[in-house]
Amino acid sequence: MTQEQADRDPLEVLADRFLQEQRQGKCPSISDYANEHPELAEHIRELFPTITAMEQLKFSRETISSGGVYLGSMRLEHLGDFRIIREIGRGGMGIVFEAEQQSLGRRVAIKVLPRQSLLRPKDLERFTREARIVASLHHTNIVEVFGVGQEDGFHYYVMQLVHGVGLEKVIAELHTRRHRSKIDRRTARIKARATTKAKHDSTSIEQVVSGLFSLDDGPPENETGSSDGASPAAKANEPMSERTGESDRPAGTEAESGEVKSDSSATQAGHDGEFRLGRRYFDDVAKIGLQVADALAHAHSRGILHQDIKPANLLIDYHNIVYVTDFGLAKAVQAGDATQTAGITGTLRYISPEQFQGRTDARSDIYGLGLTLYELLALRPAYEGPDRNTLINRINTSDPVRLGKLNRRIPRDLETIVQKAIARNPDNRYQYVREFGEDLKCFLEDRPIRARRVGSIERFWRWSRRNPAIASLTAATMFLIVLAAIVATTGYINTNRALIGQEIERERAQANADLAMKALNRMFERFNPNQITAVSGLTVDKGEGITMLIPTPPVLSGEVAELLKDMLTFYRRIANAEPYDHALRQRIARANERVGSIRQLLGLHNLAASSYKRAIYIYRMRYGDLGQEDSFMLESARIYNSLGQLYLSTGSRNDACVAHLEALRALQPNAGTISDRPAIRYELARTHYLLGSGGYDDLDASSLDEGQDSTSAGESSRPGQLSPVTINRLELEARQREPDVHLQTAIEIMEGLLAEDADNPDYHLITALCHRNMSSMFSQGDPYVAGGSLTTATVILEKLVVDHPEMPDYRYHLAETYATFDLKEDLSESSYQVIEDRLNKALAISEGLSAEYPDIPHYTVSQAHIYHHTGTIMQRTLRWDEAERNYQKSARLYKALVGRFPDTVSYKVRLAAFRLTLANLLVRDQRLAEVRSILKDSIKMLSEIPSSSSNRQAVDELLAQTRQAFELAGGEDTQKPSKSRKPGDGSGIFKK
Amino acid sequence: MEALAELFSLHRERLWRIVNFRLDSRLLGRINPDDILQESYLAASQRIKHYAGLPSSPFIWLRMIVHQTVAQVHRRHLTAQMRDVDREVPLDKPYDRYATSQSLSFHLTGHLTSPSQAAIRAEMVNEVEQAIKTMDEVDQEVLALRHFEELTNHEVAEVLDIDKTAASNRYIRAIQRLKEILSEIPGYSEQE
Repeated sequence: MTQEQADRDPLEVLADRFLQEQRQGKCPSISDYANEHPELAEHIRELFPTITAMEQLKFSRETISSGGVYLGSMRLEHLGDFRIIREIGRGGMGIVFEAEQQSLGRRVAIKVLPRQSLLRPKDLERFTREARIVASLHHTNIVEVFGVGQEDGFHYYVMQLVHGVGLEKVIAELHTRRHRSKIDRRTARIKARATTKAKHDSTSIEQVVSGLFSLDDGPPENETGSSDGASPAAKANEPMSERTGESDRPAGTEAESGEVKSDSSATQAGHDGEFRLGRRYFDDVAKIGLQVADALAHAHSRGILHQDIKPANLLIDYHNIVYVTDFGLAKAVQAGDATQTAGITGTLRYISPEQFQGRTDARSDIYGLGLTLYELLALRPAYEGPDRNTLINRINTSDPVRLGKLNRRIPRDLETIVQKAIARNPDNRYQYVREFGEDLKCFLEDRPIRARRVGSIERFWRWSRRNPAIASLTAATMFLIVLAAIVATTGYINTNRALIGQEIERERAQANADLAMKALNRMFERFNPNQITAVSGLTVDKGEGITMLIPTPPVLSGEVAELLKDMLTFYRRIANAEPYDHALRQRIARANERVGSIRQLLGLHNLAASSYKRAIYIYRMRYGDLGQEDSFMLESARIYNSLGQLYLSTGSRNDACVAHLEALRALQPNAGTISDRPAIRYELARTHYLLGSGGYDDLDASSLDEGQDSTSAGESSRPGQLSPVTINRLELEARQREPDVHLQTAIEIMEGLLAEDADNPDYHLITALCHRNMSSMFSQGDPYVAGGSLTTATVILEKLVVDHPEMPDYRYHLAETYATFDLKEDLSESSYQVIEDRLNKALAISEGLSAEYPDIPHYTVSQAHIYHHTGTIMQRTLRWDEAERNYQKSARLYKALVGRFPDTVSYKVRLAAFRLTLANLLVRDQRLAEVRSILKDSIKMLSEIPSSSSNRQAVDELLAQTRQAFELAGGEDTQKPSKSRKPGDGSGIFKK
Repeated sequence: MEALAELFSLHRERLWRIVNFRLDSRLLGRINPDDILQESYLAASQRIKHYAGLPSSPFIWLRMIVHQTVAQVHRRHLTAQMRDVDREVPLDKPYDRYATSQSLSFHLTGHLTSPSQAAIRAEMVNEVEQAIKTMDEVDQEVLALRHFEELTNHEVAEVLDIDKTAASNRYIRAIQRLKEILSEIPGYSEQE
């Protein structure tokens, strides 16, 4: 053994042991390995997670291939106290056996999880914890969990044995019966195979179905379905693009929006003739629903959610009793392993739209039950799709075909109940499962139900209420939206087809997709007027004890966010396509960029960065192939700048700076030569402006090198890629240190552009902003230059506001510029007067903007800052009461913002900073009780910010300062760590 | 012959894994890996008389036979009935598992398990796939042998005809490389 090991890399020997332990079903801890072998610890921590990933990968492959989990080829006979009798089912999560618990002599069901399903210790912990909670549920309609165990490396849980079958099998059986006589031979063959698969329980399904479901088992109908009263013509007109599992069309040709059904197959529509389900069947379905609703109500009342209600998790026995199984375990187990990849469409299908956004509550279970009832009534799933993306898309964007359309016999009330339960917006569903059950009961007793049918007008109203921005759009835009939806869908399909097909079709497809992109872009721009300025356009006063630059990510109202999410799905459709040829690439890159900006607007920062990087990557592929084409340079520079602004908004200033430098590089591939295309020069100027305004001058060059890695490393090692961009450190240092040089360069470029096109407002705006930022840069040095810059900026902006009264952003920038001043220690009285006048102008504009656009948070932010500045001036000129009043106003506005956007950390940080200033003022009058109460609020607010926040440093600093001030004001802070207080430390906080 | 049966059942689990790993995705659900093992066993029993003269260890010899049997099955099913099978590709298995890198990538994004992440995941698989393809072929193979076929270092060395030290180093290097590749995928590690 030692000889054998001597030849091997000691790390590999350890890895081998680690692997063996995992395969035996243990959960070896990586940190234990690292601690035992300190000399290899670093490598162990680095590489072992990848080893685990590989093992999970193998496990999920095997799960997929065997159509269920695989426990190894060994035969299980005993698990501890349990004697295994037979296998009764298997699914993605485990194999269920009937077993005898020998000590108690009772029959139980045991679900055995595959060894590799709980590889990480924390997954195992969660599994055990969840199982314990679920074991506390006792209800007729819930499969009781007796406990969990572990034996021979297998984890299992022991449950009540139910003699029943899953509803998914019942549905499949009914479905088969309905199609039996009218399916061509081919389909029948496949069916036969499907039936053989489930052979061990097919008889009991038949029994359940025939015995318990009161089918009006009349003769099967012919293709036209004439006997049910639906006119054949009407049915032929109804496109049926939903596919059943055995459709023979190749995947990927399907229309993806539920509203837009193209590509209908006439034969399938014919197949979908009404099946003779009678009133008794519908009653049975309602009874099933009622039992499940009861079970869920019991669980919900104890705070337990099921999270995976679907037909397969509902067992029905010979007495028509339904049992809910796998309570809560679905999540516990699936979060930890890759079994979700197995039969993913089966799992995905029942996930509610809000669960895709990571939210889940009792209403998600209501949704799952609703979909199950839908499927029992329709005998086909509510949502289907050829691939996961399409399926997810449909779930999120479309309603399933209305039940009444599928089968006129379905009672209207029952349909209404089910439709209400599966509303996409949880607010439109039953809010409590109890209500759902009550309505089902009303239906069964022929009493009026509470749920109302949603008419098409109400549906439209709901839609426009959700999207007020849309509702106020012109008819033309409405048309565009519809067009975009249609074209994006069909364009995508055609594109895919065209990849296989001929040139002509390809061209047409591209034209379509281009049209879709254009329509989408126009819509998008309504919500996101191209932001040409730095995200953090606010000057935080230096020299007031608060010198941190707090970035503010863009903040959206819920309705716009909602709409953007819808658009996101369309863009992603395009963005996810393969960049097969050059023409496609540009569009895909654009779509990725858009996905990035939407994600950024939605606050999904990491994802947004990924999308931007992917867009850049795609542009660079092209750019590597065909030489350095201007337009692609320009595009990638633009995206680098967006990426930079994104990073700045999340506080990653190193990365931000590097991204802008990359943009600079893309625009000037050969140092010194500048293209004469206006668009490129404009972008170049903008890049310099961003570099000059981000406050990057205090960054350390060596930290920037690291930052650069994280920005471009993803591309550097790819094949067909440009060699990794290495920015010379000296060059970097030289560039980053001189923001005024950047601004000056930007101004010069702009002057050149203005000489060619004196009317372009964008040119004027950038010029003005550069001048403004120059003025704060020079304030420490040459007051004359500073004043001149500020005057220039003001003059330009005043003219822009006059020329373009329709642009609120110009007014905003003007207000911000009025509120820019240099607060030196020894200002003359007249200087204060000048500043005060400017602040009054700023305030007038800002109040107007906030009143007109109450939903735009950065206008409110600006207003708050102007109050704060005014307060500062009042304080300096000894007008204490007015100072206090202004500070109070500013804190109030921020408090409102914090209330509206509780996730935006920077608002909290600024609120706390402003409160500190206010406290400083109040301390003067010895109003210590007020100070304490204000600061106490801040401490509470700041302590609750999660430690993962990107503004952590600012938060910590401010928290320390606030605590110190709080103690100085006589407050006792119980949470404060004891060590940080030093005598005399408070002097910086409360100034004399 | 009895010795062969014993040998076969001793290695059955690992041989099953090999079939499972090497079998084309289009045949999954149509062909039971157990049937292929059965076929392999028959082939082995016919050829065992030749084995005596071969230098390889018994498991490696069985493994080779299993590989050949899988290859025969592929020839039989994927040429004549290609069309038919193609139509029946299960919807939830949209990838070709025969292509090692693609299927590796599909699963390596498996830690993105929440539904919303699952959506993002599909998008990322493509990237991972591209990345894995850049790996040295031998490295890809070493990973497959160690993990999917569950071969020991010793056996890997035998199969690839390299010495044990080299096999050992190679594996660590491959894992290292894979880790780097994964960490370079924009967004991959951000999802954790």
